[in-house]
Amino acid sequence: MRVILFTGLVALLAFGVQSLFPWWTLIIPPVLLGLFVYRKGNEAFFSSFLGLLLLWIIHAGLQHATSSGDMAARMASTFGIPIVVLLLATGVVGGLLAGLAGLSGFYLQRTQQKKRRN
Amino acid sequence: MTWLRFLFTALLTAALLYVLHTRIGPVPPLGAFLDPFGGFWQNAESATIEWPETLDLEGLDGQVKVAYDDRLVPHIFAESDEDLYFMQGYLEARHRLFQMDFMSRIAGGQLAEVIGERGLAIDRYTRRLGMRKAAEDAWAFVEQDPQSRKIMQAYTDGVNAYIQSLTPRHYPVEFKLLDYAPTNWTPVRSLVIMKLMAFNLSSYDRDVELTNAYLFFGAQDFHRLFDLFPYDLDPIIPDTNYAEMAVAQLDTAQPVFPDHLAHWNDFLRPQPHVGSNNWAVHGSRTASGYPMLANDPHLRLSLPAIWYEQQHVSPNVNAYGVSIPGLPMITLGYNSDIAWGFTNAGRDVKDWYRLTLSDDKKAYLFDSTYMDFDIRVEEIKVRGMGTIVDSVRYTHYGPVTFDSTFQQDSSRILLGLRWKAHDPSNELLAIYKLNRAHDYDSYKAAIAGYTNPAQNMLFADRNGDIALTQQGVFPLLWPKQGRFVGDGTDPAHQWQGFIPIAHNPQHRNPDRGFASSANQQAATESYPYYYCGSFEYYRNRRINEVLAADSVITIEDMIRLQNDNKHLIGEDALSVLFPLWDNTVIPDSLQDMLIELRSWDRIADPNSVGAVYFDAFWEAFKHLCLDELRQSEHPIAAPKDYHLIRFMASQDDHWLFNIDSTSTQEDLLALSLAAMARGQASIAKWQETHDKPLTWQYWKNTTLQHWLSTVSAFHIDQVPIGGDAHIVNANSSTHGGSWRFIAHLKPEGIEAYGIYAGGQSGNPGSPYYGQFVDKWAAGEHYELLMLDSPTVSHDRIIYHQTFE
Repeated sequence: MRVILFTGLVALLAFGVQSLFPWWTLIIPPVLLGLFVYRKGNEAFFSSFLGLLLLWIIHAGLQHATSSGDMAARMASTFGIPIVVLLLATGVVGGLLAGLAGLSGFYLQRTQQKKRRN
Repeated sequence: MTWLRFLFTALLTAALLYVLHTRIGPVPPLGAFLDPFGGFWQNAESATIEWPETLDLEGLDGQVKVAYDDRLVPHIFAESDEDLYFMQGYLEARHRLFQMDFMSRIAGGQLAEVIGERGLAIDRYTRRLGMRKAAEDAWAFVEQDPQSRKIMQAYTDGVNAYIQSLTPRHYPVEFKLLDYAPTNWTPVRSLVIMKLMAFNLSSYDRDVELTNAYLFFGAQDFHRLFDLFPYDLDPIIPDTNYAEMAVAQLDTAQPVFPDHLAHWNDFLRPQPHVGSNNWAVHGSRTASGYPMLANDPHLRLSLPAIWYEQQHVSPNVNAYGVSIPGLPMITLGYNSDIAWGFTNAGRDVKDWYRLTLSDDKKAYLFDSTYMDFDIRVEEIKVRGMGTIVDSVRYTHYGPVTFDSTFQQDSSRILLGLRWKAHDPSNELLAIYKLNRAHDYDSYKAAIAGYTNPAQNMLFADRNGDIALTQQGVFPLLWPKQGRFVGDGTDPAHQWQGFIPIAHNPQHRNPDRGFASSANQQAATESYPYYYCGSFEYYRNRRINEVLAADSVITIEDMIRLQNDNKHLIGEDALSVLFPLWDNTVIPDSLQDMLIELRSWDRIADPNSVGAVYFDAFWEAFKHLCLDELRQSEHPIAAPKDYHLIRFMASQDDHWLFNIDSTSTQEDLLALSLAAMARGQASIAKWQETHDKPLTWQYWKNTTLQHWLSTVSAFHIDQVPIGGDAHIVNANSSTHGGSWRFIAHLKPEGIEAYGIYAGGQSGNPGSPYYGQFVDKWAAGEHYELLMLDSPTVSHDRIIYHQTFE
């Protein structure tokens, strides 16, 4: 349940950030959630991963679907893969970076908690 | 432990981020590239137009209205010339920014700045040919004319207005692939594209190769194989009497040949198969009684195409046609009163001179004194390597392109280059005036200032006039001057002046009722000026034959002739060979080839099988025949097909027909049988590796290549079109009738038809990218839409936009 919630939250925040700033700023929402919200490593990684995976796949898919389709077809052919795989690869790239960013944020949070407990 | 865990994941994240943000070899930064907010997904377009209906642009004086038709052709209505060319710059940038940027980088020696070290040799070559310097000199010259300066500045401002409106996520996809940002446009970038056209059209010389060929073949065979003025010349201007022409006296000399073959290299020579057709038929020979004009320039078939179509309206012009993105004005097309079309003159205006150096190699001998080289320092930015400095030596002829630091080994003789494209000139002003010409006199006045690359400028108007002028400035030459490498020490070998423009071959309303050109020789043998170059021997004969045979020509006839696939090389070559084959016993193993060649109708239609057999045979024939040339370590000019076929007919036991790799002695017959076998083998091999039917279109594989030649997904290949080089419908695998235009000049208004190989949008993600290709391949034309007003409602107008 929390994973679904956080997935949506990551996607929403990343959508906002990416609409305004360069692509790599997508790491900011997962890092922040990692620092302040996530409670488990699994949660940190998978929510962030899924959030960006879905955001990128849906956003790319919509642009592809509302176009003539030529761009994705040519790119997929350049990489030698079907369009679906290209779409999936797009999501995985965004997701992987977000997942690691979420995890980094979470581990940073844990170092602070350790300190407080001490 | 927790710190360690954090550091490890943080480092991993940073490493991944770094990798995804970095260009690795030819692979773009994957994160940025795949990112749906800014990467290539953003370049996916539909046919629906999403531009704002009104747009404020800084730099416009008044209001500009643009109507777009269903092929995305902008019809620009401006209140001044400055606004018109500002808008042209803006719209060309919107559709063709990458192409413009890339073309100007290729021509201006700035390619390595974006593609890295693999672009460095091209950058050094274009700069060492003097192209960048020539463009800079041209701008200094153009700038002195206030009108030209205003046009160039307005066009430049328009391009930059578009560039400045872009955010990285809206860059054309090629910028994302190569990971660089568009930089500001300048007039020099436009003029460097003009020099690229000069390179493509006026830099084909074979001075070194012909010098070697002369030494290799000897005077008699050289004359047979390379005669510039054969008996059935069929020149562009066949009817002018030159008896009255007063010709300047020259200090004449003889070519000086070295005692052994010279060496050079084949580094990026211009393609010999660029060419064009144009013809105009006088009203006395058309069904309607009014003139008709046709033009199809054969250039490299690129995507986006070299052409961008548009209509230009300001208070002093209403022109329609195609431009070369990067260059203001309509290059080819028509206006309210006249139509025009160009073909390339093909005359040699690029000569190399052997230099004799002083002992310290810092000076060269000329007219018994040593002259110092000038040094021009070229600073070339190379991505990832900083700036490379290239010092180029200049003689009074021009640059020393090749030396021990560039593409030539140190033991070789240095050559100085004299090229007409080095001279400052203002061709765009001529085009500006031509866009506004309204009759014969204003056409002649318009083109008078045009110098290079020389063109056969065809004209027709609504008054019923047709005319053809070979327009350009050509050096005065003594016989054979400029055909071979010149003697750099002898003043008689340098250009001693230029042919007066009024003496260029030309005619108006010729008696035969039509004017035509197809890159053949300009004039008859009686023309008092010597010239050389690379000329066509087939398309011109076919065009003239068809036009002469029909005295009631219709638009359909014009279209048919543009698509004519008659294979004259095949006809000529086989007419020499079949008499030989008929008198001998052809082995059974060659019967396939023989049967196909015998039944072939000599037409290179897309579905022709015979054309494949002939091509396979003919390539094999030339390969085996010219083996002696290939075995030399020096580049030796190969004769053209035309000369070779005539040679076959008269010298059938010449040593050239021997195949060196065999122990036997071959004559023409034996060589032709060997070529049949080799041709059959190449067909068999093709069939093993291709699953397409064995027809001309698949064998030839006409391909429209994107400017990034390695991104094959941006190409369109297997275009189902017939023809070939030296056929009127001149589509080879790489070059072809890039713009096909036909105008019917009725007194009440000009009806025009046209199409080019490509589409208006330069975005490979747009449905407009290759929109015209199928229709182009089918040999069809669009009816061109000349609008009277930007607000007129017409069922082919799909969008209106206002800029202010």
